Amino acid sequence: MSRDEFAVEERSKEVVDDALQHLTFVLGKETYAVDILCVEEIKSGETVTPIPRTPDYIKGVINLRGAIVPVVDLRERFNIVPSSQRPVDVVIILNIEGKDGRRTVGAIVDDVADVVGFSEDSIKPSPDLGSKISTQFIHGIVTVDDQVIIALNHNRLFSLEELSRLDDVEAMAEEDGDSED
Amino acid sequence: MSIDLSRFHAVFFSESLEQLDAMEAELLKPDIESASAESINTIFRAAHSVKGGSATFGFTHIAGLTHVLETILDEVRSGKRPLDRDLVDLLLESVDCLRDLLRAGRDGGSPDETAVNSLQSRLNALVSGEPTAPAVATETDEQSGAREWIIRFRPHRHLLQRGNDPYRLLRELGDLGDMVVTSGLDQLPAFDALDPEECFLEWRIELRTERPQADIQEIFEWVEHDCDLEIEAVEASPEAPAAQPEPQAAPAPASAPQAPQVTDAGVGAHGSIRVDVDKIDQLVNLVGELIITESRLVSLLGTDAAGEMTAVGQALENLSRNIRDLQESALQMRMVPVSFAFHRLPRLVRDVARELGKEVVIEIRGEQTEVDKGMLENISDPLIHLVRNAVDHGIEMPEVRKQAGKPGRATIDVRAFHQGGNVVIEVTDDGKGLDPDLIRKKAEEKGLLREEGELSDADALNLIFSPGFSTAEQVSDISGRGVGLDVVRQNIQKLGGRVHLESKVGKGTRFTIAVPLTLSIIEGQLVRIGQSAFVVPVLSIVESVRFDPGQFRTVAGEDRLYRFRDGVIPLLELGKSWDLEHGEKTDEQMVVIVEWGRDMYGLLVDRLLDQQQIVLKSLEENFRRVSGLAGATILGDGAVALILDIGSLGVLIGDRRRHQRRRREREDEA
Repeated sequence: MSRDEFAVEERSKEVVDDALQHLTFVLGKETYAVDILCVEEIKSGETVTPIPRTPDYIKGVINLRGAIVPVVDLRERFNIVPSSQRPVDVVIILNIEGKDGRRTVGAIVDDVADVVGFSEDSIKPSPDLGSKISTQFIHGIVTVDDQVIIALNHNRLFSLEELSRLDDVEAMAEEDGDSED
Repeated sequence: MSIDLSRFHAVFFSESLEQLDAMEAELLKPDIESASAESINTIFRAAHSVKGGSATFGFTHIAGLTHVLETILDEVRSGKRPLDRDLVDLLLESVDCLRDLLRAGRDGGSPDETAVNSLQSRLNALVSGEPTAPAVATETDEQSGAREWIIRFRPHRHLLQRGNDPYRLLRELGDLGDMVVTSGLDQLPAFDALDPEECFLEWRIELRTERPQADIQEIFEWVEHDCDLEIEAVEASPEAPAAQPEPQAAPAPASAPQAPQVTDAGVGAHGSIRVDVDKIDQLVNLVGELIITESRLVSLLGTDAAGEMTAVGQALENLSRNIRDLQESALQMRMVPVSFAFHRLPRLVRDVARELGKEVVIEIRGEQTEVDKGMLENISDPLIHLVRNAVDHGIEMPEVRKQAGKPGRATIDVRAFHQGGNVVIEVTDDGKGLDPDLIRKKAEEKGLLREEGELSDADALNLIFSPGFSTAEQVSDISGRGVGLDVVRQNIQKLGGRVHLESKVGKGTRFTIAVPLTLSIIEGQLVRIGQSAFVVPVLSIVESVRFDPGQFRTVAGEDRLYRFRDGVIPLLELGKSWDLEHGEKTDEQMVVIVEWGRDMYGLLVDRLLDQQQIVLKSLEENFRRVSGLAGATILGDGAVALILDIGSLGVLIGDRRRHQRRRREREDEA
């Protein structure tokens, strides 16, 4: 990282108005961040009702004040080994803007870390180095207090297409019938 | 005065459309030619209030049209003009035209100007031309017919708060003739004491008009309880003494004094406001939340203060009761009378019957039966389809009917009532009925008969619900639009309801639709499969029987079948198909037999739990459709339970069986 770039980052950190607040959380060994404006709340100890015939990483649905909200285990989604085997999962409830309108989705993470502010300018494009999460879901990489944080594109991560993916067991007929026709 | 009127537009549109519906309903009464003064008054009032509103909001087309209508109706009311078929047709056409204009105004579209103008000129011609005598008389005898009135109009202070605008009233008065208005400012307080929402002004109006006193009074019809009103004739012309009692002596007065009373009672007893459905749904949701929180409280308290009735416990019990009442009231708000689905029917029957040269009257009963608004919207189309079908296919031509010894004029009877937690709607015609033999033959031709052997009459009748089935000799323009009874049945079943059919050759046909009261609340049977609780809609359940492995059969190693009554039905083991985690095997396993279309199938469950009212929630709102599931609900403990979609599971079974049959056939060939 060049001296100039560093200077830019320093400056932007000082201008508080430019800084967008982000919620950071832990998946495995890495720290991730989402725009705090899309975070509705953080819950734990929810009873999750599994939904048959959906991908494993969709843990099921919970009751969020009367609304039925799907819950995705981000660790399973990206094959990340959980950092802790805590019995209680932390669920971050997020509001997603999609093509088909606004939806609410829960994300299971290892732990919620902090709220940090950084500006849009300080987010660097993600170098494709071995992160478990495909670059299409990553907004970029940002360094705050020597800690590397991966900023996620939550709208894409929880898009409807994403939630419907891997749902190859659509019809029972296929499962029970023969596959030749 | 620069009040933004546009926010009142929505109310104006919906109210005016309702007025038009009321007008149409009166016009469609079978004996309209000899209509009572009361019916004509209803029509007149409807036209009048549409006119008032449209003038206020500056919809000149509508105001112009209703103004002429009012003139014509006034003549009818006073017996100067007969209400004949042609006039009824013209009035109905006007209703359609006004409806188009209102919708165009509401949705920002452009109305069909030529149609409006043509109608307007025909109406004008009618007013000025046909009843030559009165029209000419008013033209030429203006001098002698015109009289002078002094009107003292002292509004009560709250007049404005009731939504009335004195300026509009004065303007309407001005339409009657020449007038001089003097404002009285005596009541006007000092500026700092002035409440802008109260009316402090009063008016003295000198009006010169040839119109009768009733017309003047009518302008004040809506405000007469909110003001002091004096109407005085100044210059009594020779025939004045005769003219004055006339409005009281003519046929109209019999009902005239009644009319305000009716309105009065209406306003007092059934005042209503319009609320967005979303707001009500939000309320229903919040109440649902309250119930869940409350049952958590009960269970928390239950463990601490077991057995003893503490003050807290008592308070909680009160709270629970209040919450249930609140829930009922909240749900009640979504309920509307089925008449909203019925009001299009008389017009439909009239138009279709006319087109086909048939004579049909429709009788509607139980239109005040209440049903959830969402449900209503969904039963409206199937209902229209059934009624249209009845006129088109069910009812014979008048000559044929007479030959069969029936009255030439057929009757379609539409009846709604509550039965259990359901709304039942029956559509009965006295037409030719359905001939089971004819249906069997037809079904055979179309290859719809699946099984060999005799088909009972009832089963044969049910064949008409099969896709691609039509008993009509030729596909007519009216019913044969590719949407058949199969779609009707499917739509009703999607709502969690059932369609039933009875028919007697030569006597008629009756379709019975039963749907739950609301879309959002259904009677659900909770079942446990593996570790999970699922809900089966009670309306779909035929019977639940204890699972007996001896009745379980596997055909060709594939088909899982279960012996039920005299035959076998497919058995769906969701525990296996959905790979649900298995709890301990119990001997409480049950088979829940459900009905989908003409088919039945069984669901193997580990245990039957409670039966309860459940609130249906969509999975799609935040997630997506999942095949086999109709949605989810929240149980008393706050947990989510999934609702099984009997329809889509049935379709899956059908697919599976076809698959297996094809496979067996191929194996047989090999």
